[in-house]
Amino acid sequence: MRNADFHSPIGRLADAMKQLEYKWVETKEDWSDGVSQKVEDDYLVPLHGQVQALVDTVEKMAGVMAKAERACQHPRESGPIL
Amino acid sequence: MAGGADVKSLESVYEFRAAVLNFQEEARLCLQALESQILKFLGWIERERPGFWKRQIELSYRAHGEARVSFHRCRMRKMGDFKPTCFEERKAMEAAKQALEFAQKQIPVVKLWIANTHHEANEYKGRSSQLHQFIERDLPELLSILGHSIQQLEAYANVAAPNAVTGASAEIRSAVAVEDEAVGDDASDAEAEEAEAVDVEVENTKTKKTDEGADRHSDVETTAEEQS
Repeated sequence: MRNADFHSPIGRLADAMKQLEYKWVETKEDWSDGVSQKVEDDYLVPLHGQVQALVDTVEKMAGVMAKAERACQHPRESGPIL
Repeated sequence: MAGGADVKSLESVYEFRAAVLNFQEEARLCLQALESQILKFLGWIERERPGFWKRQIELSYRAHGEARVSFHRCRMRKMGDFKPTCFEERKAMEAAKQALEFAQKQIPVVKLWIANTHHEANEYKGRSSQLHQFIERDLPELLSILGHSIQQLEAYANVAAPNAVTGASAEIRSAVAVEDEAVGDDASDAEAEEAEAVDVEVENTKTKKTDEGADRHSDVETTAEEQS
């Protein structure tokens, strides 16, 4: 898309979530008790769900926006920008 | 909280807390960037496109008029008995007419896509506001829990951060037991009783902090009682 870039920020968010989850896997090796279980169940699992839902929403939105851009452009605008 | 704390490395908890802070900052930036891109796109489709296609209609209308005049002028031209076909002029007039019709059809097309993109943007806003709330309300809670756990573990390990506490639970207990044993060798019975009384008092104070604390100190108290 020329008029907006949704993929870069949502990709960064998904990557940040992966890094956090990776760090948590490492941390769990050294920390396993009631508090660590609470951290995972009450915060990390819901956070993963929220981020994944947002990624899906943005991907769907980006598809619609790309179609809108193609439909509303003049044919001569769809060529490469020099 | 049932059961005692089981933390092999306090440094891991520090690092995870730092990772949560990084995520929080990165997620804020990503949401801001997405919001900015949506506003940019909606601005393009709502404000720039309708004006663009109106201008295209005007230009196409003018071009069609010029092409039609050119075609009629060509048809009027006669060179003796020869009547020109005006093929090029006809083609140009047809192309101009098609361009005009296409531009006219684009006005409702843009309106339709404005509605569709608004719908998608609203769905995004609903979803992103949930994540935003999580980042601003739940992540600070998580950071607070992590900070509290770090404070407790530092207190138990009696070490300055960020030294690692390997096998914290077991090591803390054994360190306390060794210390009690050394005291027991030299001290008199009266001193041992006094030390036990202090231990009990300390334990009562720490019991209020957390359940894990209670578990650990009950172990320490048991060890002290056995020695005395």
